[in-house]
Amino acid sequence: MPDRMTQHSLAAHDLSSGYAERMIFQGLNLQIPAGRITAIVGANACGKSTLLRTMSRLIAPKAGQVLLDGKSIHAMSPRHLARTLGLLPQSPIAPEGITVADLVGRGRHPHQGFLSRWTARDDQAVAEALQATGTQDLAERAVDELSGGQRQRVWIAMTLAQQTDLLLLDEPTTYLDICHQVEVLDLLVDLNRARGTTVVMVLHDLNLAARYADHLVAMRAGSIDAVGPPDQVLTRDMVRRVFGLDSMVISDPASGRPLMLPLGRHGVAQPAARSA
Amino acid sequence: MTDQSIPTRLRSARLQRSNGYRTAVACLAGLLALAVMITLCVGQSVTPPGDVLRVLAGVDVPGASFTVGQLRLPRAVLAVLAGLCFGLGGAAFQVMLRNPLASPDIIGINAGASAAAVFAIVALSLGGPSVALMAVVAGLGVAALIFGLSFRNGISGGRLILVGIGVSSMLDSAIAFLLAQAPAWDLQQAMRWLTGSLNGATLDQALWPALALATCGSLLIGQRRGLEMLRLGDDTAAALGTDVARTRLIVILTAVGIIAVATAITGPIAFVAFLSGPIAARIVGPRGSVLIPAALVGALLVLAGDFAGQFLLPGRYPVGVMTGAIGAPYLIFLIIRANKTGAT
Ligand SMILES: Nc1ncnc2c1ncn2[C@@H]1O[C@H](COP(=O)(O)OP(=O)(O)O)[C@@H](O)[C@H]1O
Ligand SMILES: [Mg+2]
Repeated sequence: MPDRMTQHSLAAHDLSSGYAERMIFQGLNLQIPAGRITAIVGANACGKSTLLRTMSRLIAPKAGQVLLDGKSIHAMSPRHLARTLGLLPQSPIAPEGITVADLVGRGRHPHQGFLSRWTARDDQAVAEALQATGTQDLAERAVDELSGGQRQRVWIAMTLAQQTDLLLLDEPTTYLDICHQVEVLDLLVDLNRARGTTVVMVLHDLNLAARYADHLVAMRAGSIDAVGPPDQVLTRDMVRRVFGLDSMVISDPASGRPLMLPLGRHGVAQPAARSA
Repeated sequence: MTDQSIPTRLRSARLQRSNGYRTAVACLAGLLALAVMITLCVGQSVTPPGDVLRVLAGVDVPGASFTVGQLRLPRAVLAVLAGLCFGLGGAAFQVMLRNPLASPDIIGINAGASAAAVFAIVALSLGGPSVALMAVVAGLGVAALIFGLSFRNGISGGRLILVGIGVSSMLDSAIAFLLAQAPAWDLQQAMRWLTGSLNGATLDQALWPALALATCGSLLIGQRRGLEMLRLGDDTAAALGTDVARTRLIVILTAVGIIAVATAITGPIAFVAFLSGPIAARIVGPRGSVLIPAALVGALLVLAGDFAGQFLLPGRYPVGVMTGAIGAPYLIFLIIRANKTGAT
C-alpha cells in the first residue's frame, strides 16, 4: 500500500443547489474534517444525495461554491478532480455482462491518459481494491450474477481502485444484511486508518453512524440541523427534530458511543404518544 | 500486502479479453470483405472472382466491366458506407442513452433527414451536396427538438424515446405528403425515402458518406471510452472524470452527421441503426466498445439485405424492405420486454 496520502480540505460555502424547478438547500455551510470519517444522516428526501452530488461536481450549484483545498471544484477539470475525490452514487448501473475485474478497472479511468495505456500500476491498484473488499475470487464473474452484498463490495472496490484521498459514498450499506454492513464500514475504517483517506458517507442506521463516524452531520429538509462528534449530535432532541421520532439515547456498552433506541407506539414498556 | 499472483491473473484475463475482442472484430471485418466479394461476383449472372479482381484493378474485361464496375461495385460500396454510418451512429445513441430503443431510426433522426432530403429534391429541385447538407441540418434540428422536449433535470432515455417516436411518425407523414406532391415520382424513388434503397447507386454518390465517416465517424469512434463510461450511469461516469455533457454533445453531433448524410443518399434504410448495436453486442460480448463492431454489422446487414432483396426472393425489393422485415419483430420483442420489466 502507498504511504499515507496527502490530506485535503473539502468545504461547502454558502452553497445552494437543487433541480430545475426546485431548490433543495440554500446557503449551506459545511466543513469536512480532513483525514476523518464523516457520516451524513437525515430523513428520506432531505437532500443528502443532492449535497453529495453537488460537492462532487455532478450538479452545478445555483449559488456559493465547493472548495477543495481552497479552490473551487467547478474550476477544475473533471479528470483532475476525479484523481482526488471519488464518489459512489446511490444507484450506479452495471453494464450487462461486465466482469468484476472490468468494472473495478473502470475506477482507473481518471489515471489513464487519452490513449488509455494500461500499466502495471493499474493492475496493482485493481488487485489491491479487489483484495481490500474480499472480491478477488469473483474477478472474472459477471457482475449481474452476484448477490446484492457482493455487488456492493464490487462497487466499493471500483471507487477504491480510483485511489482518491477523499471518498464520498451515498448509502454504501443500503440493501446489505447487517453482517455485510459491518464489513463495509470496517473496510472504510481500515482505509481511513491505513491511508488517511477522508471518508464521507450517507448512512441510514444512526447507531452504525455513531459507532463508525468521527463526525456526524444531521440534515433536516435541506439544512444542517446538527454537526459535530457523535455524542454531541446523536441526542433525543436531534432525533425528534430530524426524524420526528421519539427515542431514548443511551451509551453503547460496546463502544461508549451514543446508542439510539426508537420509541414507537408498540413493543415498548412506555409507548410514545400518538402524536409526537 | 497484495497477493502478487492477483495482478498477474488480472493482466492475463485482461489480455484475453482484449484479444477476444480483436478477434471478433477481425472476424466481422473478414466476413464483410467476403460478403462484398460475393455481391461483386454474384448477380443475375455469375462472374468469376478472377474477373472481378481484374475489373477492380482497372483492367477492361469484356462482359464483366459493365456489370461489375458499373452496377455491382457502386451498389456494394454504397451499401458498405451507408451500413457503417447507420450501424455506428445507431450504436452510439443506444450506448449513450443506455437503451436499445433510443436508436436514431426509432426516435426520428432518420425520418427528419429523409424528410429534408425529399423536400430539397421535390420542392427545391436541389441535388448533391445541398441535399446532404439539408439532411444534416434537419437531423440536428430533430435531435435538438427531441432532446429539448424531453429534457427535465437531465436526459432520460424513456422520455426521449416516447417524444422521438411521436416526432418520427409526424415526420413520416410529412415525407408521405411531400411524395404525394410530386406526381413525377415513381414507386422506386418513393420507396427510397420511406424505407431506403440502393437502386441506381453510382460511385460518385459514395463521396459524401465516405467524407462523413472520415470526419464525424472518426471523431465519434474517438469518444468510445467516454461512451463506455456513460454505460455506468451519468453520475458514476462523471465521478470517474468523464465530462458527460461534452461527450454527449460530440456523440450527438457526429452520430447525427453520419446518419443524416447516409440517409440523404440511400434513404432511411429501415432498422439498420436499431439492429446493428444489439447484434454486435451479442457477438463481441462485454469485452470492449460496441461501436466498431456495430458499424461492421451495419455494413453486413445492408449488403446482405440488398442482395437478398434483389436475388433471393421472387421479385425485387429495396433493401429497406428486407432490413425492415428483420427489424420490426425485434422492435416488438423489445417493447414487450420493456413492458414486462417496467423499464423504459
Ligand atoms: N434528478 C432529480 N430531479 C428532480 N428532483 C430530484 C432529483 N433527485 C432528487 N430530487 C428531489 O430532491 C429532493 C432531495 O432528494 P435527495 O437529495 O435524493 O434526498 P436524500 O438523498 O436525502 O433522500 C427530493 O425531494 C427528491 O425528490
Ligand atoms: Mg439519497
